[in-house]
Amino acid sequence: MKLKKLKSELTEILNLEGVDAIFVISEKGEVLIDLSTPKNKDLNPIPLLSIVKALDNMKEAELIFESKRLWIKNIENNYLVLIANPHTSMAALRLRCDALFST
Amino acid sequence: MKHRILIVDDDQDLLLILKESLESYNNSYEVLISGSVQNALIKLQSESVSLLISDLRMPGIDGFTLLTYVNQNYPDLPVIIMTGYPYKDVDRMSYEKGAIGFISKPFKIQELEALIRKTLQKQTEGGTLHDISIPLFLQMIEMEQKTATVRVLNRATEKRGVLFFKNGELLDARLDNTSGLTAAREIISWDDVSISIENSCNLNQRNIQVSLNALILEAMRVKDERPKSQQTTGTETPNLRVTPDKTNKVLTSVQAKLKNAFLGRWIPNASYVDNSWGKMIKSIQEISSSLNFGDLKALYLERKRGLPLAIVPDEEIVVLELDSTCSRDKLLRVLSL
Repeated sequence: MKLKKLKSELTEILNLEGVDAIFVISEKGEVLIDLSTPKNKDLNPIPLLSIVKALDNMKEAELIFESKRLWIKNIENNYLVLIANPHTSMAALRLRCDALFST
Repeated sequence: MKHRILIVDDDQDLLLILKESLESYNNSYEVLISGSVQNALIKLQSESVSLLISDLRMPGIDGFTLLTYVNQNYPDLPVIIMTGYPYKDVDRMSYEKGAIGFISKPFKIQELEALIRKTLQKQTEGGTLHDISIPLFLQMIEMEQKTATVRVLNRATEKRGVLFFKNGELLDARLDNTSGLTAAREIISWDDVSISIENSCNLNQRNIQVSLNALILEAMRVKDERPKSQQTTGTETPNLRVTPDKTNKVLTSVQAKLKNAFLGRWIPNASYVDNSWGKMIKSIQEISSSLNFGDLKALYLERKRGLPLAIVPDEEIVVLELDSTCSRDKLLRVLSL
């Protein structure tokens, strides 16, 4: 899928309740897509790659912090990082993203 | 299960006091005493010992020599040094030579007992398993690329063997006075065992060169050739539940949360304490602090190899091995409460 179309689809997901930001980061640390809600516009995606690196050999991870929830998925050589409210129900969001990347 | 502790000191009065005090303080301790290093070496060859406590200054062979010998020949056996040696840095030297604990004379029996308890707890930090098939368990260690010292108790014969794993590779084994392939083959052929897991391994050198699968096949052959009268039954059903060390409150608390939330309808494949995840958790915490995300409450992790895991960082790190029937959202909600 072309980057522009992917960005548009991910923007729709960003508008769902509880989602704060979505990033697509390459293994080399290049931020390919940077989407965040106005409240979270200061979120820096670069440190997120360090979390990905810490999760050695990761295919998929979900981290629950006190104030945020992170879902990370390895898609080919890139990482999709979705940041949400810690109480957001993620099953539907994951399904939607999975469908998006399987096309 | 009794923990056998060997105490070596040339002061006979002190040995008798320590034996009597420790055995009456904790009835799970069986204390063996030895007035010299030479005598201790004979005891080590004939008795299965969980912990060695040694003085430093003794006539003939000293405690440092014993410490070095034990590290080379019994790498799974922890050593505590107790001494009234007046020189500075003697504690540092003891640790450098491989002691895991140090206590200066004079000491209170409670202090020594606390040190013993802490040391013995480490031997079961990864949990204790009962009624498990050893081959299945070892394949799991290999698949998970775990580093561990695995102590196996043959409940029928009371024999104790040790297997040393680094990153899932079986490096060595020890059983009585044998080591390497011979010891590993015998241990793996046992039925009716209890296994305790220490999440570290002091060995680096590989002494077993055959693959684990080949070794398991060989052990099964040894088992089949054993006279029927020596075989025990009743352990054919693999049971991967890890029973918590009774003193491990963190693991017990996580298991209780799961039981309440899932009402027994779902349980993880295994649950255990594995503090080797500490480094990774610390890195994540440092990064998340800079992002103001707060503390990490729970983590779901699916890697390129192995089962998906849920990891709960607390005073100790609890790891749950998951299956596909688990509701991830519910599990993470429960674990992060």
